[in-house]
Amino acid sequence: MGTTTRVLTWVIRILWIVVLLLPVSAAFSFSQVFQPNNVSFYRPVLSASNGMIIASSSFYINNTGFYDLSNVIVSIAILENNKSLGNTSRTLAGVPAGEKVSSSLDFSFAFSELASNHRFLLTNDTSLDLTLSLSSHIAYVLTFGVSINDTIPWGAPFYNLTLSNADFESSTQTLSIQVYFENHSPFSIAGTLRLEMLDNEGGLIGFSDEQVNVLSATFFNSVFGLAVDPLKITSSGVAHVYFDDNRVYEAEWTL
Amino acid sequence: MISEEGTRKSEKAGSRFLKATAKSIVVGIILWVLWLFLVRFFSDYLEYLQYFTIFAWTTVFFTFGEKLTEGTIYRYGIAIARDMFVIVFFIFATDSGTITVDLANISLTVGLLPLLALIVFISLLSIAKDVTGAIDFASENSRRTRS
Repeated sequence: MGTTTRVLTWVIRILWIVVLLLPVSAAFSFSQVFQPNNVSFYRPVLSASNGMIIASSSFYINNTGFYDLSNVIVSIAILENNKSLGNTSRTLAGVPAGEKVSSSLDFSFAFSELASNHRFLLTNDTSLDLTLSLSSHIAYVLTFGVSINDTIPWGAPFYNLTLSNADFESSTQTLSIQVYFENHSPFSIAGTLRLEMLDNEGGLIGFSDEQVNVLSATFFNSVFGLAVDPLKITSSGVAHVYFDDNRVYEAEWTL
Repeated sequence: MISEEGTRKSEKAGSRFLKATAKSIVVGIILWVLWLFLVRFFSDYLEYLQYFTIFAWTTVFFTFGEKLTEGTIYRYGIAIARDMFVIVFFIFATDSGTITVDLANISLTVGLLPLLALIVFISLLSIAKDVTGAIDFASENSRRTRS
């Protein structure tokens, strides 16, 4: 056997040992990290501010393995019926072996976006699909990604929105209608609630604005009085409910 | 004289066959013990156990072939075939370097591309070594024949 062959044989042997040891030790380190209570995500908490709905979540990673975790990317996505409601991600430089890193994830979506693309959520309680993802390099060479699917409960801010008891008082030329809804969301509904009454052809009969402040887990029940032109009044039509200029509901009404 | 040489040759071949069988059995037992260990962790992932079974049988086959053809030029041919099998096998078994496992509502993805690249590199190095070995063997043989 020549010298070249002998050297190559030894190089190959050493490299095979590396190939075998690296994944085994990385898998062991990985299993140490993913012991209970070493990686934890907290479910997003919803709040509202200035027309925006904010979802805040926090997480921590306690690297009890013996390899550093580098280029750690944590992302969160919330979907409603396979339609994205929002997503965000955070990149951490790394979690060195034996250290614990905590961070938070926040993302917001406009109430107007909710009203235009996910109007169902405004009046219906449901579950939102939540996807949590964590990807990282382990030992700076191998990569891994963990994706967890979960659901979070959604409480509708205008749950069970109903328009009832429509009545026209000819003496005052006022059309009155009762508006009722329950705020099942974790935030308060504070703003202008507008009720528009239209005839069957879509012509505006009248409208009424009311400043509301409905706290979480309370209900709203009020009678809206609309000054209307008696010549325009019809026995039935369509009603639109707006909150801060965003249409949240529409229903037919009859006297 | 001729029959004596023939007897020696068949004795040598018989001994080579026995040595090859013994080494294959030893390698087979090691792989079987490893399989018993792996089956505890991968019992729900039959696909990966199947890959291991294919790898184990092929390893036993190449071990037998290499030992049987030891001292001949064919040994290098078998070694090159084994290295090529290793390249193709690992590319196929690791789905080109990315393995995804679904466990209930958790999906785990492992990227093994650098490791796969290293395996391919080692196998290519091994092929180079076997080619060098074959050239060495052929030149040594011709020198011996000339002298």
